[in-house]
Amino acid sequence: MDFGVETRVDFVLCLENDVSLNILLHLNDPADVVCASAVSHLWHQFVVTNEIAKQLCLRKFPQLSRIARITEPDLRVAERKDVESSNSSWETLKRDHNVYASLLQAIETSNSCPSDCIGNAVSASSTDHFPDESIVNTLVSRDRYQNIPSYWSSIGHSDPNAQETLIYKLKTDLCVITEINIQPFEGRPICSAKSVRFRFGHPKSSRDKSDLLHWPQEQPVDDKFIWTYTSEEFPMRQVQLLTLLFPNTGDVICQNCLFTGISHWRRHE
Amino acid sequence: MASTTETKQKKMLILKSADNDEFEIEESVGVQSETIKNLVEDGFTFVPLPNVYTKALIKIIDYLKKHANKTDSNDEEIKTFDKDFVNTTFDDLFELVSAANYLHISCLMNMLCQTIADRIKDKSPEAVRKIFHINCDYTPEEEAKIRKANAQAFEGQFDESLD
Repeated sequence: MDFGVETRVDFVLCLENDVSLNILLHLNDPADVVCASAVSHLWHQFVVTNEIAKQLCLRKFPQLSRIARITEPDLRVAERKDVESSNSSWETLKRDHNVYASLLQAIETSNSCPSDCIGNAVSASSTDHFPDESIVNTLVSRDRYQNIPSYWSSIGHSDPNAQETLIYKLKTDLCVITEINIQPFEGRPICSAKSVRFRFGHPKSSRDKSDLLHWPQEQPVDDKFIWTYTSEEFPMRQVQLLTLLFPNTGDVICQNCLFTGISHWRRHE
Repeated sequence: MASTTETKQKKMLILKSADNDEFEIEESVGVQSETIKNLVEDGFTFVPLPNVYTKALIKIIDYLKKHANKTDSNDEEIKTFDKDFVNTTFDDLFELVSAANYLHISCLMNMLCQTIADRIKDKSPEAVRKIFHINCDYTPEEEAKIRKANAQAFEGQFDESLD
């Protein structure tokens, strides 16, 4: 191709607005949208006022349309600036552009290792024969580890409606959960729970976040967390591997890294 | 009966470009454009297109003819045609995308926008400026601020080529 005599106009300046918008909406990568916004003042204004980062974000993850409010950690900055309303709506657009672009980048980075998002075991509400039957065993997919049966077991309850809770820390601060697999231990009979539900959340204080892995694994710590999402209750069959898919586009985006399975256990000896 | 369908008169349209060239095409080919379709529905057979120049119109008529004959068997052929179609300069792409927008041909519009977007994908802001002859109107301080606010976007390797 001969590019020698090309004029190559600044298309954001020269083409109709809806055409330029259509072109930039075809950038699929949030990093490209950010780069486009850094080309010139005009491009920046165009990308920000047309909310391209937000549109891209919502197209890829429609569940993010439920974001009701964006708050900034540093409120002093917002208060100090006594700006006019027209100016502040520009400031809002600019902030939203940064938020959606970095949110999308964070999600995509975490999705680049999609296979397994559970990082560590945090705690179980009860454990029989600690540490032999501790929650850590659930991170190994095999039923036996070095020839010893590998599973977690609760202390058991006489009440069939008793609940047990397992808490895990996820690998990254931001995860998109599309599927959860549970593998009951293959004893005789298969010791699965009667039903199971999931919650996602984060520690109540940021101090707890760093302490997370130092808590005693055999004790309940449920009250130290704020749960932001609770799933419906899934009945469990006595099968070897149960896969739960989150329906439609209802994938759960989990912020700040905690995941818990709560189950009503079948009684078994 | 094949002979009657063949002899049956095909409805034709005349398209007139911005530089006053006239092109005769089958109506069934033309109505892939929403703009032309609306005019045809209003009874027009002569369609002036004051926003579309001859050079772009010839290419677009080619595209419409090819896509009007879409069947299950020529899928690959059309893909090859499309690939050649967009393998052109930015100037041509901008001319075509404006025309496709005016004519409301959504599949062509999508293809052209995706092509242009793909060509600026992975490029640094500096490379995009060079490609489109855009003056950097940011002060070095402003630029540093943008980089800092979006550090993650500037972490990767950029494609600095200018084509």
